[in-house]
Amino acid sequence: MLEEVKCLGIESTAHTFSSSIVRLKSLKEGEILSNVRSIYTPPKGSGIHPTEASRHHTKVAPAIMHSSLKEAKLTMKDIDVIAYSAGPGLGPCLRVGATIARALASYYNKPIVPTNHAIGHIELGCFLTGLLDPLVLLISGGHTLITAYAGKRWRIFGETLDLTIGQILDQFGRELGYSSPAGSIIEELASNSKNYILMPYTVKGNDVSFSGLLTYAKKLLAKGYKVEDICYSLQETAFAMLCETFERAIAFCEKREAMVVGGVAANKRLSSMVNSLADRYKINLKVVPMEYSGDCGAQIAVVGALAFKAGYSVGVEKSLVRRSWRIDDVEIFWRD
Amino acid sequence: MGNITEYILERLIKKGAEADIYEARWYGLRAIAKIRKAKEFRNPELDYEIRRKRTLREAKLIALAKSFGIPTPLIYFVDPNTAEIVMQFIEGIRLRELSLKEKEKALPYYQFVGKNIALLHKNRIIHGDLTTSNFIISQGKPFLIDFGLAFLSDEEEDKAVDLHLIKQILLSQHYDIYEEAFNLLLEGYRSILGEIGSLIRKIKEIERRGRYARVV
Ligand SMILES: Nc1ncnc2c1ncn2[C@@H]1O[C@H](COP(=O)(O)OP(=O)(O)O)[C@@H](O)[C@H]1O
Ligand SMILES: [Mg+2]
Repeated sequence: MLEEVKCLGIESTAHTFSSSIVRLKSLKEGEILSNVRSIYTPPKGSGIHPTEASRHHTKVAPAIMHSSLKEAKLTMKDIDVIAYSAGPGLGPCLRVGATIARALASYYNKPIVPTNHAIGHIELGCFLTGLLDPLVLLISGGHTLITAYAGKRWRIFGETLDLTIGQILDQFGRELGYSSPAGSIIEELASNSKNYILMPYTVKGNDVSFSGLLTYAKKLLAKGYKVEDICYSLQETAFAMLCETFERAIAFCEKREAMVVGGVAANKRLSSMVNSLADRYKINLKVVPMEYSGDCGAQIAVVGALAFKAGYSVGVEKSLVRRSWRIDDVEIFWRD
Repeated sequence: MGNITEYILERLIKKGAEADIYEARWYGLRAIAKIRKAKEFRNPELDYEIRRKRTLREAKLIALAKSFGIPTPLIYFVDPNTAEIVMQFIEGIRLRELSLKEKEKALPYYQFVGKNIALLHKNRIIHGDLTTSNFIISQGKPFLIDFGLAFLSDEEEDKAVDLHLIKQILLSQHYDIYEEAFNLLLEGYRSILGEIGSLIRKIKEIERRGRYARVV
């Protein structure tokens, strides 16, 4: 088995097409050599259209692939294994990444690792923060869940019962006429208000439910409330719900480390709220660096390298896509 | 602090998910004082509202559950404005620790747990936070605590979410006994409420909703 693995990772589950190369010995030792991306933006006021997004990915792919190699100062010959995001995600988008991975793998005769996108957020987070056994809050457009590793799986301690945090921010953003992802626009609008309007707050055990909150925010908008005030209150309420369930899970599972990953981890208000939890439980809590919070090739490359080092890869005929793929369905070969 | 009201705080024994838990004395009785402290991360207005409401609910519904024969602590004192409850100290081990350390001993209690959940549901009480750290095994019985998220409802959806919560914790923290424990729990539940096929389907439906979410 190779001591150090060079993995090319391709991400294409939703808005983002990205390619990255990492050099990895273990979760504790390695380097991200490149991480290049291009993000598809839908027309104003609309959400992502899968076919349009996949066209964007196809168009940018050659240039992105090329610069990820160039930045890493490597050629395809130097790559040990190719990983791609096999799911969960939008069918047409997933197929772009998978097709490129298959083509490169058969042309250069390389093994392939089909990778779970959510596991990618988590393991990349562990690699970057140095936390090896954290309780994880994963918050993005596709996921809102709390997970910890045990017995060969990332196990789910809490989750959303309906919409994800990314979905409510995007959907409310669309009501305001912005295209998704709209998280950063809402964050900015929210930062201009301090006027809190009481909104539906729904926590069930370690789970949250966001649908009532979104409906309420839309109603206030229709009634003519100030946009900044609604954004502020929506954020305060939704983030407080996330913090509370995270806190519940921290108290329950008694881990010493906690980590926040996923696109919404880039929100400064969220990260300051979450940090205030750390003191109460004397837990080592880290938020993934902003550069790597959103979807990127590095999350795929890290998992690809770990899986390959642990002896796992497939041939071209097994490199499929899975639009729905729960994280607790994924066997984690590389952890004890 | 202890002398404004009629109880004396002795020592902090636990930082729970929501509250600080103190060992206390209530007219000479060994007691627990559960104090929901303000949370910095929440807007103060929202925070106060949540703590007040949950304190009230907890006290009310613990007592109501007790009246239906479900083992819960006696409530000695409540102040919703300061978000504190003083209640009977339940001496014992939590189902969480028993399930982690002595699986064989823990398993039989799951049937009892299921029975108690069914008794709650039969009487329209939804607990809202069913987890193994909220059952204390004492005098051979699982005492149910922590009713801050409890509410009254007849909806199948709410009962299904309650069962989903305990299932989720069994699958994550207690995965090695999940199958046996959850089956025993359902057996106990059925012994009170009979056929529950449609409830089980509802649980599956709930679990499908959140996990396959995708940006559209
Ligand atoms: N009446 C009680 N008797 C003994 N221990 C208790 C009692 N109430 C709470 N505890 C202990 O404190 C912990 C947290 O209390 P709980 O009511 O569940 O608060 P939280 O809402 O913060 O989880 C429990 O898991 C248990 O260990
Ligand atoms: Mg509790």
